[in-house]
Amino acid sequence: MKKRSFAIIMTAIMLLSIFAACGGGAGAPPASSDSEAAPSGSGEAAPAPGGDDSAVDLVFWHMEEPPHRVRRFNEVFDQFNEEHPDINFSGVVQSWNDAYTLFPAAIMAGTGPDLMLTSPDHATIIYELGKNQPVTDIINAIDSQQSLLPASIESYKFGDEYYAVPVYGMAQVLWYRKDMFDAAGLSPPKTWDELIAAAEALTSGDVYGIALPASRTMATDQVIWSFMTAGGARNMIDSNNTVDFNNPQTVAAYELYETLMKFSPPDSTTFAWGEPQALFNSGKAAMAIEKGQYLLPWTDESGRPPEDLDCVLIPTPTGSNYGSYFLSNGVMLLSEGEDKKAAASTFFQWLLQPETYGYFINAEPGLFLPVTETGAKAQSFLNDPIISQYPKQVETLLEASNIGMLYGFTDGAAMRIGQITGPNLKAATLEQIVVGGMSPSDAVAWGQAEMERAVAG
Amino acid sequence: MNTQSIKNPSGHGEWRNWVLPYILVAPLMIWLIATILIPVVTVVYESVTSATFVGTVGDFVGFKNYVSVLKDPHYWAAWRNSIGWIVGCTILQTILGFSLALLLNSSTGRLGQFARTWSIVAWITPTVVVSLIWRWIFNGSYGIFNAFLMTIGVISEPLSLLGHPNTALMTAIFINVWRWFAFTAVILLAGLSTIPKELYESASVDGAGIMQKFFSITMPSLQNVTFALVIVGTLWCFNIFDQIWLLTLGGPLNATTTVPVYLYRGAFESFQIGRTAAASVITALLLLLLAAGLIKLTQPKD
Repeated sequence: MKKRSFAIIMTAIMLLSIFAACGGGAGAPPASSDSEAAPSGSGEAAPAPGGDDSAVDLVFWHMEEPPHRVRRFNEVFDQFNEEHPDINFSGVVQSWNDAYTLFPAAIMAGTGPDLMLTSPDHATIIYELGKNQPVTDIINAIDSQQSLLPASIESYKFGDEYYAVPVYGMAQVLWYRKDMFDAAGLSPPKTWDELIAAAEALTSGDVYGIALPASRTMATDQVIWSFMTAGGARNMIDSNNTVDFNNPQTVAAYELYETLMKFSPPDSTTFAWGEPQALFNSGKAAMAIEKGQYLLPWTDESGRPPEDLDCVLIPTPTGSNYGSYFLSNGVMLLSEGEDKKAAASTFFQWLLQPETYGYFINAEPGLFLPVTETGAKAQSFLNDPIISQYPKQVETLLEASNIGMLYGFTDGAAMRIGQITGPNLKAATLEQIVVGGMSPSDAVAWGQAEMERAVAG
Repeated sequence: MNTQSIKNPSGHGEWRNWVLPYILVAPLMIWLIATILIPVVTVVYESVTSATFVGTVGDFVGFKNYVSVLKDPHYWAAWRNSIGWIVGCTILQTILGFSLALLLNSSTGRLGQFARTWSIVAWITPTVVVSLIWRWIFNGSYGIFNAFLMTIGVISEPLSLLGHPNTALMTAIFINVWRWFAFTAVILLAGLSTIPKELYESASVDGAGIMQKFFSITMPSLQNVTFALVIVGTLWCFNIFDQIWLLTLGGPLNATTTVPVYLYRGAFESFQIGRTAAASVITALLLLLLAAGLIKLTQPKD
């Protein structure tokens, strides 16, 4: 009898443990185990300290994983919870890698969050699921008070409605080492010819004039787009998903890239974001094209004063009509219900008010740029220890964000842009030139065919 | 329910003996159904739909995805890379593994013990660490490999081993072999320790040389081990994705895009879940054929 009871109990325990394992958070991406990644406030499920049981819960998934960003975000969320006892806002850190793979499954399984950080091409994918809610009224309310940058909201306008609230932008500029330019008696380039001349003049031995990524990655995609917009190739794909990649302006941008590769390290074909910055900071490269993340580590990594780091708008063929890569990250509302939407509206309006907003985006000073006019002038933004050290450079970054644009959203939203950005087809086109030896015109024609095939599915 | 209807008429104890094994294996069966059978059925189902990314439900498209994959030159190029990857890794790993195993088997001193312990360090190191270390070593701008060759005057400018299509796959194979040959050696060493020493002593008395002993005693005695190593190692090697992805992302110019990388890109970069599911089914069938061929070729003989 004892043996039988023991067998039954053990079997029951085993079955229960398996069911428990299967049922635990099925379909939902796990939160990071990093203690920094814990939800802000008192946790995802429990109400915030001091919050009452009738408070509206808002769970926000974001993919800003570096600990210092998580820390700053959580400080802001905790402050919001303190000021709004009727709302329990909790941030949960996820990974961008999961955003394209696990998030859609989680959303369809009903285990997604109320709010989710997104990028424009990611938003087109989530939009296809039909689970996100329009936020046009929230956008209008914020715009009337804070004046949102048009480029930051246009990339989230699908049809007649907006589907995400932009929270910060990122823009590319040409970074240059002023110490190296001064030593060579050079001025920062404004035109493509000046850029080539400077890159050539500054290349000597194991020091390169410029460090450019040429791998099949998003990093390369973004730099190519900066050259394309600077060269006038701005409507790569329209709202009907018609691809217009093969044109003289695009070919010219690739010809420039091919020329500059002569003055970039030979292993540029393996570079993504980190390598150009490492070479730039170590004095092995005099120029690089990137977003504002160059500010934060500059003095520590280079051992040089802030004055030696400078930037200008991406050079153009003529030195005028500037363009740049610009991306705004937004937050989507996924939950239905007026109470959730009202709580989300309260949160966004609170977050983007000048008193709060600067502190939030300075989670990554220089990289995260304000998407509101009031934010760009806010003391909470400008008084940051890093931002205040580089006023001229920040001004240039803000100027770039004002003129910047994003592929797939320059002529209405191209809902199939994800099929082009996912496999990094702009970078793949460059690879055909730099690695495969194809001419820029042939490679761009190849890219056009690949993009059309990708868009057609 | 009438309990008499489920009771074995020959007695309560026999009923318990009959049903208890099923109860005990039930958790494992449920686990296998949940983690293998259901995903396989799902993949086969999705392979005949136009599903775009995880979470979406596609329309039924029949065998269109299968035709598309079979006609895709990139898919067959990925197979060519995979075959090169398997052959390169298997041959080098076996040669180096055998050499190390024989060396360790013949060294009994403290140095031998030390080598046995430390030879496994490479394969217990996480893939991401191994990949980052080797990327750093081979980096053309600040890696020690190029710096060393330039210092001794072998090359005048840095080589981009992982950035050139002619060298990327070979370099990835080298790194993979470096990581796994010690594991092969440990398995072979376990096999070597089971061979009676008397066999070698008798062979020596009969005047057999080192090579004769190796091919007439060592190799035949290890055929069960090598059989398992070839089958498991080949399939294992084929499925390696993380290391290649971390080293090259399948580039440059798809030079290191093996079939697993091709499948990942199709599903999570091009968002073609349905088509990628079809490619997975085709790949699984081809792998089955490959495994059957390997079993026939390398099956131990009496």
